[in-house]
Amino acid sequence: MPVIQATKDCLSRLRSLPRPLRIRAAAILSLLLIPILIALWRNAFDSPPPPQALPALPTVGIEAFETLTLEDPSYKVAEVTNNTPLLVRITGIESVGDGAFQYRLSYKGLEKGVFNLTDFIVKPTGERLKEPIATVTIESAIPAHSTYAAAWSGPPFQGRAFPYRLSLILCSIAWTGAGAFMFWQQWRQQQAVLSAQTPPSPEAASTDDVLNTQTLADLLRPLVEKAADKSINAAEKAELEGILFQYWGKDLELDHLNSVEQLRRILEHPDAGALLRTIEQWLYQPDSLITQDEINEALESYLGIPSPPPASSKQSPVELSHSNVSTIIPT
Amino acid sequence: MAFHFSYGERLLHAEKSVRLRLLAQTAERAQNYKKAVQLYLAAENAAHPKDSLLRVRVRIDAARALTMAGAPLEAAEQLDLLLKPNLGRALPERLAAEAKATLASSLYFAAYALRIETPSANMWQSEIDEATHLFQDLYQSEIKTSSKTLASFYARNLEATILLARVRKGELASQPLPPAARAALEQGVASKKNVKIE
Repeated sequence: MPVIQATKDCLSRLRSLPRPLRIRAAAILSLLLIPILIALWRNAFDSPPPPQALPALPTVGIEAFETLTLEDPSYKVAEVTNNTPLLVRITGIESVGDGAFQYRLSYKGLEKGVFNLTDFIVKPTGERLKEPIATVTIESAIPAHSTYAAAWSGPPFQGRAFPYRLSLILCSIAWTGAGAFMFWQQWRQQQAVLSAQTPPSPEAASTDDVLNTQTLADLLRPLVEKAADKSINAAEKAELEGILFQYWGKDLELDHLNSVEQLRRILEHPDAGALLRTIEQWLYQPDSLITQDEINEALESYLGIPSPPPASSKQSPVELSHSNVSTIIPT
Repeated sequence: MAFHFSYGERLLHAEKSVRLRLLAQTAERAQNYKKAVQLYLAAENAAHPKDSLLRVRVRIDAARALTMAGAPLEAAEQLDLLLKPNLGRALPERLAAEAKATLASSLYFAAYALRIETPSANMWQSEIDEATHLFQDLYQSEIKTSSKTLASFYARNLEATILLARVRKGELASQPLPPAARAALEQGVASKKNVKIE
């Protein structure tokens, strides 16, 4: 399953990118996208038209109301003809005492002008009332000097549509760019690691640089060299095994197992157990002379792997020390 | 992905439809009403089938352009269909008001042309009555809103409709003819109305 392994490696590399860098890249891209989209969509919203002042008095065709006090409850509205300028309707009559009655009238002008409401009310005999005088004014809603009586509206405001197609393209570019940026960061880190393998001049690298570019091979090298010249002590052996357990335990997902089981699985694994088996072989040959090339060869698979952060009790459920790390390496 | 296949596709269609609608509006402002109608119909077809609001909006636009192109009765028919309550869910308030106002204007211009072209009140009375009723309704609804932006527009058109119903034919003939009514006369609105009655 080389594809799965490659995906795993890729994800592991992405995870190894410092978190602030990942967040910063995403934040910068998001901040760049927002003003672009706003600028493209700025024309999409309508500003409401200014409200026009309504005439204070009723205009032609608009219903209005008035109250009149009359002395007889039997009055009616006059017959309406084609030329009637005002339509009057009695909506209610109430007695208010002393032989007076309150008429609630609604009226609607069909022409502009000033009218007497009682001109449109008749006695039961059919005679127009005419008094008391109750004038109402009907105004015109058509502005003076208008060419046409009616007004018609043009096309309403239509803002630009949300630029969805462009947004899709921009988001795709941002997504790809963010990925490329993260891979570039990773690549740059690897380049720095490779260049660090050539011994730097003492004044060239600061302590921070060394920490940033240290690989697992760098961490293991002094211990492996001691194992090669057979001067390694028990604590150093435990440290060596601890480093390997920490790395391979995570990689092979053995964290939940106890140290004995972890050791068994690591030794069985062709890659994970290779270094331990080589060291074991060296130590069983007390008179052998191990060359630098052999050491480099043993550490070759750890060259590209960044040094893990120091193990904390939170990260590793088992504290690694020479008391609980199984010593497969003979003393 | 979920967004794209739900609202995203609608946005994608809307982008195309709105572009055509903007072109149609440009044609309408240039008084090229026939082209405007074609572009509005293309915009309606470009909208997503489920984007009913955009489709309705564009259809109202098309009806308005159709009225100005001299086919107010056809526009009124289209808008009548749109406002029928039994066709799916009711329109949003603002859109329904826009459709009613366009319908009332179409009827007004149809009645105007019919009043000039035909002597019989039967030919135009129903259009005027419906237009009056619609403008009254729209005015009453608008004055209840906080902005009252369109109240004076509706009041003016209501008055114009009442005047149209009451004015003598000779007086009407001596007034300048609104462009939509002129276009309707040129298209022979009375003959179309006769066909409709038959």
